[in-house]
Amino acid sequence: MRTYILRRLALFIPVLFGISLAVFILLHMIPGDAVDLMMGIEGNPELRQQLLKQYGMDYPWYAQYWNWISGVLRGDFGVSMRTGLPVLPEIVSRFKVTLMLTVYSSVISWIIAIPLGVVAAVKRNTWVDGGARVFALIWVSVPNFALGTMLLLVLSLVFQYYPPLEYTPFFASPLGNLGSLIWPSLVLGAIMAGSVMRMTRSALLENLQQDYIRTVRAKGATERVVIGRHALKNSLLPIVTIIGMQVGSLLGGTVVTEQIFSLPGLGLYTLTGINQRDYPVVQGSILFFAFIFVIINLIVDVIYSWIDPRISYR
Amino acid sequence: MKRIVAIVAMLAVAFGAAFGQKLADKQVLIVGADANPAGIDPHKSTAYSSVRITNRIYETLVDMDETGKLVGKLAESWTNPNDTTYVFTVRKGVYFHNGREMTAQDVKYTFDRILDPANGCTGRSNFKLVESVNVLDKYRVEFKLSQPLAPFLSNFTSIYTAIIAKEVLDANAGSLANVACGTGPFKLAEWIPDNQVRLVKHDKYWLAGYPKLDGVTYMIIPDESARLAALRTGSIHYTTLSAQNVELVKKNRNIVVKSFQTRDYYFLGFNFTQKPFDDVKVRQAFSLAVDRPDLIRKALKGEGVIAGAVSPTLKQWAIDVSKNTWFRKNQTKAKALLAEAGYASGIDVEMTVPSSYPDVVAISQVLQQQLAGVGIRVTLKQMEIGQYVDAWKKKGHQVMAGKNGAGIDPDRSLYFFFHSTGSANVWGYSNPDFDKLVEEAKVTLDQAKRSALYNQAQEILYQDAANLFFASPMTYCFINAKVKGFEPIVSNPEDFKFATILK
Repeated sequence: MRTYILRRLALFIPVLFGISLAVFILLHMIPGDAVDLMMGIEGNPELRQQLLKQYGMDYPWYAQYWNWISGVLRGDFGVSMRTGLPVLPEIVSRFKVTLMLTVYSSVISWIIAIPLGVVAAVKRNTWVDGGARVFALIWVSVPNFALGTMLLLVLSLVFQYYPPLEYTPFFASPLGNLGSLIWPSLVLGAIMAGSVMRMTRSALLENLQQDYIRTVRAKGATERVVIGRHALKNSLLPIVTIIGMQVGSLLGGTVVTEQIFSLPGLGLYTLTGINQRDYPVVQGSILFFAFIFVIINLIVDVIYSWIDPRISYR
Repeated sequence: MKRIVAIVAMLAVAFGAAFGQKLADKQVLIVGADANPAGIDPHKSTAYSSVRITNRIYETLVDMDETGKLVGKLAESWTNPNDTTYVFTVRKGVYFHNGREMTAQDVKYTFDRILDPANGCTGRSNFKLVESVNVLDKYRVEFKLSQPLAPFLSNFTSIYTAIIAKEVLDANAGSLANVACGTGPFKLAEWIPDNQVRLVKHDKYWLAGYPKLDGVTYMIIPDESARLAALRTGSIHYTTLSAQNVELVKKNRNIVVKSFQTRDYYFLGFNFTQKPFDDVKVRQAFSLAVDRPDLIRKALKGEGVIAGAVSPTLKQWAIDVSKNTWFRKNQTKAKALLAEAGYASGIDVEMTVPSSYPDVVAISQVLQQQLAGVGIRVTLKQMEIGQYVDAWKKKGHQVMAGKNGAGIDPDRSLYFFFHSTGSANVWGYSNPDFDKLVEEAKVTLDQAKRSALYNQAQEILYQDAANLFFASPMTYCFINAKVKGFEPIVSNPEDFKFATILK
């Protein structure tokens, strides 16, 4: 196991290197560069030359790439071309927002989805099952921008309430942090719950038809033991897979939700960076996403072998 | 004297009681801003998200009032001993946020920074004719020009010429992107990127008794419907929203909408390097095919005025375009002109549109319908803003819809955008008669003569249909009814120094 993890970690290096190069090239291929956007119509060739020099953009792309990546290796992600603020601390502070949002919305989705999925599977083809499936279908199909905007409208028009504008970090006040994030977490949690519930239901149904379940029942085990100890445990693999994917994409920033609820998260940071062609910001954050994604994948793989001892890595 | 004071005080109390005007305990105005500022260097950050903040923190020598007249701000007065010399007397008792008094020396520092090409400051191109900046004494500074320049004074109203403090610039290695020290009514207290910018009152502000507020906080709320929701619940006091929202808050007594005429105008730019747009008849046909009042009704909800290249708010400079032939719909003549140019069967045109400007997209859609009436078949091509700017620069378009700022001086509206060598003339428009007029006007200091030259230049520009001009939009400020003493004006739309918040 240990060697396996070490080997996977070593594989991170070529993966991240490849991604950094791809992002760099793609970003510099998009028409309209940072300096053009910065100058707008006030531009003239002289000013352009000056700004290119100032931002180190007067070198060929491979030299620019080298300047950037060698900085990254030393832990220096550069500074934003627009705000002059160093990129890495900004990414870290925004990641904390995104991380907490992910934690809350995941917990909300599990609390709703897993019990609901189990009940739906056990009471298959009853009105309970039907109701749960319709419920899941609604959340799977509603786009999160519609849900977020509707929630804000209802809160402000009906309840005369608007979520706090100031973001409170978790370590400043856990309760305040929950207050800042509860509404967007509900939106994301509900949407995630839809697919997790469907996966739980179908995985459990499949397992309930297996021979070993009959054996367990024949042994005289209670239904609780049959479902909880045997069937559900064996159904966890696909559920963990889908949760892993969801968490991975949530950690990459939930641009739309962050925008609607004005959260200073990673998604909004990257989007603004892309719109302004703020190269250090976009390169830094995408590299960071890639890193998070490979880490999550590794964690999911490790969890697999823990849930199912038959899976072992060498 | 004592009696007058007493009477004034009594009156004030009486009025206050009569209107129940009690001030709220917390005098901090919360603004809903749509974007995180892209830097707060007054000389380099050009985005609106930045300028709305640098305009609170910094001040310029000269200001423009509602009527378009130049008035002193940090400069108490100025003289013009000859055509190429300007002497400013700066106001006494103006303090920077760090407590030091501002002097003529600071004006020189500021312009040293702006004029040094290595710094890449935006405003530099307006001051290229400056030969020297000399400090005469503690409060007087002299600008010497190499030749007369009519719009020279008006350039001093731009925030790109804000007076800065040298020690702060030096302490931050020449960068003001995220630190600030100006002379404005509010000073920077805190900037949490993508969340808020907090400004607090400058206690030593030179205008005694102001600002009344203790601070202004800009909360970053990118989503328009979220800003409206926050305004409805009183979480924010002020924000700007698009015209569609005016209808939504009409019945809401807690929200007041104030609007003002902007100096922006919508345009359709032709690419003169491509056929058939080099043919003046084709361009004129475009101009006559458009029904401008209908366009304003459909795309701008009826809010906006017909406008050309010079902002109609500058009454001393702009000609009345609503009476100009080329601004009036005449489809028969348009068709005839197209036929004369050899396009009797109509033409196919690709129109480039910036997707991030919903108002420009709306304009282009109405244009598409209207132009179809004379046989001009338009395909709309929406582009992300970076791509759009790139297409603009590389002249890769046929016709391009957009929105530009006409500026406060016709030199910008006409020379900068349409002179053959104007730095924003990306169209390739070139008319020697027009060039001569705007060149002459640039060095004519006599207001009446200068105005006559610009009137002629505008006539030529519209007859040539150098661009198509349609309308100038309004800006809508949505304000909590408890905010008093605030009137948005176009030259300084978010001047909160007179505002107060009632209980």
